[in-house]
Amino acid sequence: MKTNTSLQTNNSTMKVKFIILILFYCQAVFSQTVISGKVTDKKGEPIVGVNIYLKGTYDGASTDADGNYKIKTELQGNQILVVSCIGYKTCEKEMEVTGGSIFLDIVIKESNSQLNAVVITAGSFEASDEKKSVIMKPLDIVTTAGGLADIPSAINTLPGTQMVGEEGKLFVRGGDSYETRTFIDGMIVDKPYESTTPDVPSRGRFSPFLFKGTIFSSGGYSAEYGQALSSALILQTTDLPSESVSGISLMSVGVGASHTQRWQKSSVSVSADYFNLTPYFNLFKQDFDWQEAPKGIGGSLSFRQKTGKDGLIKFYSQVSHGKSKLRYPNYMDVATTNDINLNDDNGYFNATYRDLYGKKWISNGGVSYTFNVDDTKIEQDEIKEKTKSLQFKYNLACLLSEDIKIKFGGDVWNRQFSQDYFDSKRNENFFSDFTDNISSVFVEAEFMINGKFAARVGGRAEYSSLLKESNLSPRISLAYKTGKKSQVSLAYGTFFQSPNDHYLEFNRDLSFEKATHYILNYQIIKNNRTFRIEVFYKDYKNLVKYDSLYLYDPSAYNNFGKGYARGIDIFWRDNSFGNHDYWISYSYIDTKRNYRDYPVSATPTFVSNHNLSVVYKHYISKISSQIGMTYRFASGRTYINPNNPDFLSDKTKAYNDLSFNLSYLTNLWGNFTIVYFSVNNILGLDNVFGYQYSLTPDSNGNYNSFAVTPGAKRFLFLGIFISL
Amino acid sequence: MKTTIISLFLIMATVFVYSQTEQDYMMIMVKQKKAFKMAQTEKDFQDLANSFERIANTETDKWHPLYYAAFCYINLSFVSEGSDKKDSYLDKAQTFIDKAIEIYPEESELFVLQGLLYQGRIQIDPETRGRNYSMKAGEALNQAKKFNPDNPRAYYLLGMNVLHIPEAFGGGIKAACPLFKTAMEKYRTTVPDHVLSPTWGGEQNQQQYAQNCGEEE
Repeated sequence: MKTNTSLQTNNSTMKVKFIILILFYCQAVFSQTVISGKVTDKKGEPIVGVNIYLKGTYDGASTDADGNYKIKTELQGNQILVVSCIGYKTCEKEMEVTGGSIFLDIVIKESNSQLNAVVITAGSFEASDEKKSVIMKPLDIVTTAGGLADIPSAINTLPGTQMVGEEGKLFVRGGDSYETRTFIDGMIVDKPYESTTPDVPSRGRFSPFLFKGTIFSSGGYSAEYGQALSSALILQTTDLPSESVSGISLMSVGVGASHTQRWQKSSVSVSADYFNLTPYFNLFKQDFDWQEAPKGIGGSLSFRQKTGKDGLIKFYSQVSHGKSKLRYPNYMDVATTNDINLNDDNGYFNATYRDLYGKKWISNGGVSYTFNVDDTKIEQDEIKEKTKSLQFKYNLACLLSEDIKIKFGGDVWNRQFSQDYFDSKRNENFFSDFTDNISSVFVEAEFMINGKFAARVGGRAEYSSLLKESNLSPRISLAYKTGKKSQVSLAYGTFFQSPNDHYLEFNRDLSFEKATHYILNYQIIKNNRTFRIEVFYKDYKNLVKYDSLYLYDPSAYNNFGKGYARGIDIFWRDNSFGNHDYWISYSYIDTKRNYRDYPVSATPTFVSNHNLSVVYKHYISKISSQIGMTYRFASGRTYINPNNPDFLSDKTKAYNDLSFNLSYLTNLWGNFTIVYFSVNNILGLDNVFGYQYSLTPDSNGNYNSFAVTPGAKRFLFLGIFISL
Repeated sequence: MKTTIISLFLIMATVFVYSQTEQDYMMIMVKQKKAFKMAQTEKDFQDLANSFERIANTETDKWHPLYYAAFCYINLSFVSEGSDKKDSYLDKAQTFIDKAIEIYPEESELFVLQGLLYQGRIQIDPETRGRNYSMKAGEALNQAKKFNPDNPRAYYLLGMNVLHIPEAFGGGIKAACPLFKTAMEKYRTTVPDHVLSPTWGGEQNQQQYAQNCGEEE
């Protein structure tokens, strides 16, 4: 305002201004430059809506439907022309603006972070809310019928897995259950399953609600993960919860309570739960002779703290105690029984810290600790097994450019195992233990070319202080886009794992077991429909073999075992209906191995050649309910029949199961409530998982047997979960 | 005398230049804001988004260009087809909102827009995103309300948020109506403090109120 008045009062300045105005005006007339041209992609297709402008100015334009643009500018001299559009790399071009007309056609490259960029998919299934184009959502794990909100059970409806009903664990592509390793926020979980008495399926120890993302890899996984021959289950915990909330759960098998307190930059959650199957077993007759139904208590504490702009500290811990007592056939002579009394104490702690340094460096570090004590009394005998496992891990990722990422890091894993066996007949204790330090380093580079071709190349080296041995595993994954929505992936890698604790306690001269994976995958995702087909070949070497007559003798063990697995996995999901969807997984596998005490190479007892799952979900908004159905089929499994001289040549009948669940969202006393009901094996079909024979023959020289079956035909579950 | 004239001249010149750019800025912003009100098609919104982005790149200390650039991309998400595309527009919008909040961390309107963006995410996949993103939207909108208790758009969008939450979750028409009503009052009484201030939502709010809460009047 002040200047205005002075303008009016000061004549000379007015003149100056006038001159300047004329000067500007003239310049404007004589120096206007028109820059025009066409923006296309590499194939020459015009791109619409591209923002093209002179850097640091308003002067610019958008391309029209034919990719044409026209910029008028009065600026002069050296300018930078910027071309930017979603899905394409932004490019800058220096140019001399001199007046007159400039014609400039521009070709821009697709950006790799664009919608349809290629992703490495060989071997892995991902469930995530954050990423697009993933095949599953975290909610799918909770709402899969027959899964009982148990992560491994829900994963068991994906291809590559085996139905092994008496174990409840993940058996992947001809691999034994110990070959699948679970990771939480990159850290190892030493005991991911609850301890159970024989032939009672175990559940995963972790609630699916803890995680925002799940990657199930049935092979060919990243060099970041080691000590797993077959498969990695990679779980990512949720970040800061969105609000403070309390919850109460009332279930047919127990009760629980939880509370989460959220502050601006941090949160704390606590939970406690108690379960006891006694009332349920009293109500529904069990086929198993339970002397004491499974019961247990548990609690968890977790903590989140944001630091700075991008840093996040996460801490999670849980402890639990469980016990049960089962009267079960004695493996020596199955006509008699034993009382098996199990007491289990478990704790898991996990702390991680993630941060960003600049725009290029991502730092991840963490520590995890597991302790577990399984105390099993079989009549007068007692076996006490203790595991302590401590891992430190750190890795750095560097985004060299949009197309190249390099990740490297290492971890140290300390494991202590001990077994104390009291033999009541001899009135003697047998104690064995070991400590192993496994140190690892890995490096891995990921690159992408034109959003069409991607490669992940890396390697991992490990050294075990117990085995006094090191290994080196190369890992390579490639992916190539074959169409707009389809792609082919390839993966190759070698994977090492230390032998099972129960072998290491008697012999430390063993070597790492080794598997080599070859995977070829084709995937097409179109209009919310996904089709995936994967073929694989897996070669096992250095598997531990032993002579079962001399279990305590170190010389009974060697690494001469080997085997193979090959097969095909098919997955189809149709998510295009809106309120209902379904997926079908089918796996065919052909596998044989000669390991443990096998006399010859044979298909192990946990393998069905054909596995099929059909999962259906339907949301009915009218009654705010979701119903789900899961059908599972698995062809017969082999079992060891000592009456048959052909080893592992007998097979059970096929397995069939139809499960149902219902979740109903409602309001109880003004609080959001989910009522959840599920029934497994709704048709009450008789299923047999295998046959167990006596280790010793009867007086006629025959080996007696009993059928290994589910503990009851059906399992019913009712739960009410209230958020306060 | 000579030096005073020169210094005066210099002062004039700088002031002149400065006010000229400021004037240019206001002129083009007012013009584009008007164009924004008329925009309907993907092309309209894309061209405007580009224009606002250019202005935002130059005027790095102002939030209005970032706000309207983000708003254009949110609208692009609403008018376009295909969930991946819709999401990519929202991703782009988010980058502008993040930048704007970095400069003006307590600007109520930016949090309103953040809430609207989250509601856009829900529309793409209500079943899986509903719960999570309606919480996030609620959080952003309450923030908007905190920074300016008289912002009518905060109440309007909170109303929309609550309306789409099932009754069992504590939502529904009954819970939404008081919010629409408050919004209506605020729309009547609140005067925008800047020519570029957002003014949208009044009519839509009226419509929602009439549709859902009509008989209560």
